[in-house]
Amino acid sequence: MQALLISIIMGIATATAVAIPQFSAISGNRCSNCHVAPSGGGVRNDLGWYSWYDVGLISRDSSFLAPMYAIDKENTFFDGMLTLGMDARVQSTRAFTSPDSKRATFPMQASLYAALTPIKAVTIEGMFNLAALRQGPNSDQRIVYAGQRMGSASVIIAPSLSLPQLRAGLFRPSIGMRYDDHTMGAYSFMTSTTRQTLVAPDWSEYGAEITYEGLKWLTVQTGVFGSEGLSQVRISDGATQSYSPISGNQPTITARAVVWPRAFDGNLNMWFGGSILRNGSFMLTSAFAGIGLSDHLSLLIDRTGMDLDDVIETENWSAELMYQATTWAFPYIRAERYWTDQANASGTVQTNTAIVGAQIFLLPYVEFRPEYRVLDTWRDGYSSRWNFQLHIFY
Amino acid sequence: MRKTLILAVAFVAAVAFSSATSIPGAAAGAKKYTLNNSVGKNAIEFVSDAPMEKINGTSDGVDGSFMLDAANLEATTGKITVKVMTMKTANSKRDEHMYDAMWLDAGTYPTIVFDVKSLKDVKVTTKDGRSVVTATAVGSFTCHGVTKPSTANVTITYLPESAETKKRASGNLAMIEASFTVALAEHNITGKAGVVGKSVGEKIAVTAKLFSNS
Repeated sequence: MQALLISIIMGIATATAVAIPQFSAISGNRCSNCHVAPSGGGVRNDLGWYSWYDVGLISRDSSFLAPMYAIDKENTFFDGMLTLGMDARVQSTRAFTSPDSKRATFPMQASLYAALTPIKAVTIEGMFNLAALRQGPNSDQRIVYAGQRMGSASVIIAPSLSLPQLRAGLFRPSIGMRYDDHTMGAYSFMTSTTRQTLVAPDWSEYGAEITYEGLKWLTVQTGVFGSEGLSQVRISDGATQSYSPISGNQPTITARAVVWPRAFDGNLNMWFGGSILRNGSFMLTSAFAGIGLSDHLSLLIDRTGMDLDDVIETENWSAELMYQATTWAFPYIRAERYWTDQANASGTVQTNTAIVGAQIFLLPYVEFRPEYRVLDTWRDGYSSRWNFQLHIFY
Repeated sequence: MRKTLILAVAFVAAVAFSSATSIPGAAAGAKKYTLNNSVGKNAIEFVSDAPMEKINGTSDGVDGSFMLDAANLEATTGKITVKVMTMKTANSKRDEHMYDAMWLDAGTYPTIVFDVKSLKDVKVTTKDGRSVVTATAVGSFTCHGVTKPSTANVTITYLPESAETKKRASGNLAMIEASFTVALAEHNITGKAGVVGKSVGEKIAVTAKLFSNS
């Protein structure tokens, strides 16, 4: 039972170091404006740090915090050659499959980032997740998802902002929109007993990717990757048979495009995008859109699905409305729907979730995220949960 | 000798007089024109167009006046002032950053000033009682405590007082559209390291829409 509980908790705790697309819609910035990686996540660049270094209910200039933040001037060092960052998250939640499930508090992520830019056109970036070192409560195995890695590293060659850039190494292929929410399950699938993760937090593959962002309103990416990570994932057809989503040693091909139109002098920000990941008969597709009123609202809609011929098909939807109440408080409501059809199961499985929550930046670099979730699962009736996350970032 | 001198002075005066551009039919003599929101909404727009991001900003905290002689437009002088804290970019956190010491330092330098010393390259067209003057304003621009020589392309629409103009304000009306660019580095605005040239333009394009009456 405890193992099931852990697996369920981990199933809904899809932590990863990600960008904040809601704020992208509210501010009109692309992912790459604030992150070193062109599709977001990982180390924040100088603007990414600068945008949030003074956001907090309690100001960094307040008398008792000022000494603590006195030495904090930059996230870049040696004239911009070295950039450092981190994300640490802790979650407290209860599994949704039983009304009696116990609350568990556990680290989700403790990622350290660094980016080295020896010359202007070349950046070497990397991540190491300390949380992946911890061991499970009743097992010698470390709690890691199939396909998850403890770290990643890549080199980004960008001769000019107006030219395509090349990224190569071990990193997460650019698919979908990278959400800063650890409980959204765009890349998960349901089984008769739980929700399982398809694309693990800190999933990465060896490969290369080209990104073009020479026009402010367009991002186009395509990549070729190995399949070592995804090959570790097991997908069930609902009977006893389990499958790997990828076939043999075929490369994984990805493509992603996002258009970012803005209107009314930057007061209305939008993005519309889609992505595909293909390996043999396995396909993972995403369509996503965001609309933001600068300084006020964001509305995000996402549809992500996977298809493995004669094994499984999923379709996951989410829609979220976020309001910028102040510069440090962002209440939101979100609806999610997860649907899975396993080829040899007796029927489809679906879960609907309604969430009310808020991202509250208590201090600079410290975010508290309370959520209240109402779940309608394939099990009997509704259940509801309080869920709390503490996020420390730099 | 005396005759030659008189002729020379007369020649210079004639040349000087002929180079002064005037608005046909308008009375000679300098008049003070003051910005007046009853005539139209005074505002500036500024645009930072950097490789990563385009930022549009506005300010309605614009004050000023100028002396305009319809018979000698080149002699136009004036001063337009913008309050830094009224500048907005549709992002309150970005605005806070814009005001702080790293950028415009509104605490130390609360205003931005364009001081017009003269007009040059003046051309006038008149149609239906409305005169339109195009010119280059020559003067100085003060921002972040640093004053630099500057020029602006201006278009002045001049309306002599009439029953129609009195509905908006008394006296003659002058409506001005001016545009120029500001190089941040020239005014010692360094900003956050790594941001200027990437997410904030090295040069800011400014457009002023000014409405005044005499």
